[in-house]
Amino acid sequence: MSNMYGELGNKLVQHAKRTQALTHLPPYQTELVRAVAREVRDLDRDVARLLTPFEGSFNPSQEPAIACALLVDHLCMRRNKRCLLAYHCVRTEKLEELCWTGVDVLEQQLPVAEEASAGAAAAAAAAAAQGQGAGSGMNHSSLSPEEEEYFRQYSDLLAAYKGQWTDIDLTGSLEPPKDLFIDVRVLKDAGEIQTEYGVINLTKNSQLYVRQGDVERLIAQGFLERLG
Amino acid sequence: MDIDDILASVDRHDPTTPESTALDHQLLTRFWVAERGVSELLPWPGPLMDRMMDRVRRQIETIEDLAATSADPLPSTSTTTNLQTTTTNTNTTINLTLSILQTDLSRTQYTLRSLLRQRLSKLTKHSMHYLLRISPPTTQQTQSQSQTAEHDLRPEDSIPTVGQEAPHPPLSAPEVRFLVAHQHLLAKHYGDAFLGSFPPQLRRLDDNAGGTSMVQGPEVREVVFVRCLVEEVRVVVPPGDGVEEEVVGGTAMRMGDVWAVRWEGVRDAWRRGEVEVL
Repeated sequence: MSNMYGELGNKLVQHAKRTQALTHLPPYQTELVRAVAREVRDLDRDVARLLTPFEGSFNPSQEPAIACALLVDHLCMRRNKRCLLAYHCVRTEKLEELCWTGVDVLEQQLPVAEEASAGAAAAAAAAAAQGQGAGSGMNHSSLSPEEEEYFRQYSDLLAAYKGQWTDIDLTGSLEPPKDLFIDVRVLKDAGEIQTEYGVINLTKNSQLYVRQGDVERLIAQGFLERLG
Repeated sequence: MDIDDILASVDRHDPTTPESTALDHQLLTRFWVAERGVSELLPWPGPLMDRMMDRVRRQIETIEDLAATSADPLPSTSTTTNLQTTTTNTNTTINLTLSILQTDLSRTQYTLRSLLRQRLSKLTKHSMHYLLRISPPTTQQTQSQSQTAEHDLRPEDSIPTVGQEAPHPPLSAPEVRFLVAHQHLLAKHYGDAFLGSFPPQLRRLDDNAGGTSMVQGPEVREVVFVRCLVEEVRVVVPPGDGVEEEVVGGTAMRMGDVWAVRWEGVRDAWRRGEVEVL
């Protein structure tokens, strides 16, 4: 136990603080989380050890030194708990935010592997191995397995709530609408979309004047870019 | 009851009249402004929301019908230029109507969306606070139950049980379902990530050892800007912070006055419709 109690917890909170300012989610601090949880268990054992000689009849006013040690242990445990909660809370909030904006974090993890395999066309065997690694392990993922599960379930929850408000598109823009129609440029081919004004063909690099509500989703997904 | 509610009730028997539509719109906008200005969740305006959603639904139908008409090439068997001009003219008129209707619709949708999102964000921020508030007061019983099976206590067990079908003021029924489901999800996540490896007595999410409760509520002392809508409103100063007893109206607002006051001081006046949040 080279560290002082609470030092690891502090590190977690610093990570959380930094995460708040970032747009993406930095890698999950698996080791740090485990270490802080371990510290809590150590402290709990220390409490038990301190209390054993008294067999349940501990009187704090008779043993102020031990009472003080117990208090410090308890405070450290609770502080660690708060640090862990804060760290996970910040990250889940980030995940929820991404969920609302329609970003699929789980899919986003994949392109990295795809690009890697595309670049290493010559070393096909190596690329395949890499692709396999990406499929089975979570090495390059910045999410913990629990967080991936959380993201999936929150998406379902959100979809269920949204389903009750289909007429107003709950995940739509939170900017007050100014123009019904906007200028957009197509960044990626997206095929044809059906609107109330007929079919629009979205071919790359074309510029269109379309109804905002029709293309909001496509802008968020990066198919279109708003001009002006 | 809000003064507008009283006015609206006059023609409530027919919610399709333009007058009641305009009034509802004003009500919604006011409520939306209040919900965004105040830190705590305001009571769910059920009937108003039902009427608004009903109108949105009908407006979407109208727009779809109109759009179908304008997209249909009108009977083009005749080739006279005269008729074609009329067709183009009708199309232009329809398109203008469509634009107006859609602009109006997207504004209503925006207000409703923003309102619902604001409420969800408040609920998410203080989830345990609202869960404790709407749960039946059986906390002691559940606590003694959980103590008997302490070794397999999970963080989820600290979530109050709430019947999910009926609305629990100030929440709507869907909001209750969302809140409960979300909190269970969170508790499970915390449990799987680290709380599960904690000593059992530390696994709860409503820990209040050492006199500090882990459950935080909204700050009701936050300052809001309000306008007085009646002759006189007395600001309430609740006990605490050096004030021994509740003081009503050391100072009073007059009609038309705009004040910056603590929300707790005018909360009841707002409920009675005597002030509006700006």
